[in-house]
Amino acid sequence: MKQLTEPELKALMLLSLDGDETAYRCLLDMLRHLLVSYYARRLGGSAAAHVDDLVQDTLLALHQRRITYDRDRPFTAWFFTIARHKLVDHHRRPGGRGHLGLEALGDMADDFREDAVAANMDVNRLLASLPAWQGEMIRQVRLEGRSVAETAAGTGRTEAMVKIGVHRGIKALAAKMRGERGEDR
Amino acid sequence: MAKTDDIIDQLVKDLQPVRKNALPRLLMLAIVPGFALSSAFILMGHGLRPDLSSAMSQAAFWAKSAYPLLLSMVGVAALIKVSRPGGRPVGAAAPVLVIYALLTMLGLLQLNSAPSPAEQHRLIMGISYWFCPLIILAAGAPLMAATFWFLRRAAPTRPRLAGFIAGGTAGSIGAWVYSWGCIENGLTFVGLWYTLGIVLCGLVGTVLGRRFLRW
Repeated sequence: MKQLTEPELKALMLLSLDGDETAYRCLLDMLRHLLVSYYARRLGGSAAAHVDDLVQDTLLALHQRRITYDRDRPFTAWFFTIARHKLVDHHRRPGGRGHLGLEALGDMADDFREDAVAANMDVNRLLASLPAWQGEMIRQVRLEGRSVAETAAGTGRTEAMVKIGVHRGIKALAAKMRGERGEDR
Repeated sequence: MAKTDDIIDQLVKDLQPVRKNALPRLLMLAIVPGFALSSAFILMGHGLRPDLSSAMSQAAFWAKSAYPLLLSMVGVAALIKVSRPGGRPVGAAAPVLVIYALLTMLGLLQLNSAPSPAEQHRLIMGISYWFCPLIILAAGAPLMAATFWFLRRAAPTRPRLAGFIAGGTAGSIGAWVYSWGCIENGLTFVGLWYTLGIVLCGLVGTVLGRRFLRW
């Protein structure tokens, strides 16, 4: 399934706030899948029942408290703060205590902090400015940490082409960023 | 998994549009009746100060009234902030300190120009210093109900801090209402006893927040 990113999720949320039921159903379905992996990763395999509870609880909280979403700020940061709040609450509750201690919650939801979301969007924007195949090579090799051989096999190109794509793409990005900084000055 | 499908169906069916600025609107919707109750309590249970018309020509009266009013404004802004997930009202601390410092400065000037030690004592302790924090607590109670009603519909992720701000804001508004009935003129009196009343409201809010702001 294609993973939706901040701008798309936010657009769906804004439509939902205006009362668009189709957008809302789509948003809830997307978030449900994001939440399942979010909670499953943090609770461990033994807690499948808890994962379902937490997912439902979080979707309900989104619905009941959507008035607190500030339209000028990133949606995922808002949403995963709620998800994290539900997780902390789950660990505090007697009986809900998993084998994961509260201290392990420290690094939680770091991918969704507001600055991380912004940085991620910057990277996506830069990659989108490259020819599609170069952007894809860089994403797979440099961001997702796949090997050149894997990427070549997955995309049906030769290893040499993958290497060249990454190399040229990075060079183009560097030139672009120098240009952007120059404009800022 | 089937149950999650049902829940999503329910939520979609229940979807109502949310207006822009719906959150501040909700807070105002809560505060207006709370304010009306608090005013009615002070008017009927205590009454306006008998010398109100002459007091209104004195700067000390307006300084005394401005102090809780300014705190209420900072409080309302902080309340909106803390009612959102992850909200940290860090911007509120500096204005509160500045407002308190200004009041203290004016209070010291006023003490300095007092004609006699007896008058100075009156500016600090008033006629009944113990009464003031208690009536502010009472005047703040309906407003505290209002701010908690609001927060329970919002999403504060720090229940005790949110409770403290809800209580302190309620106390500040209650103190402003009471400033129309209170006969004291001393700004040092306000700085000590009004502040004590507001802080007491904040502490009550902190305790209540732990209990009522979990979700």
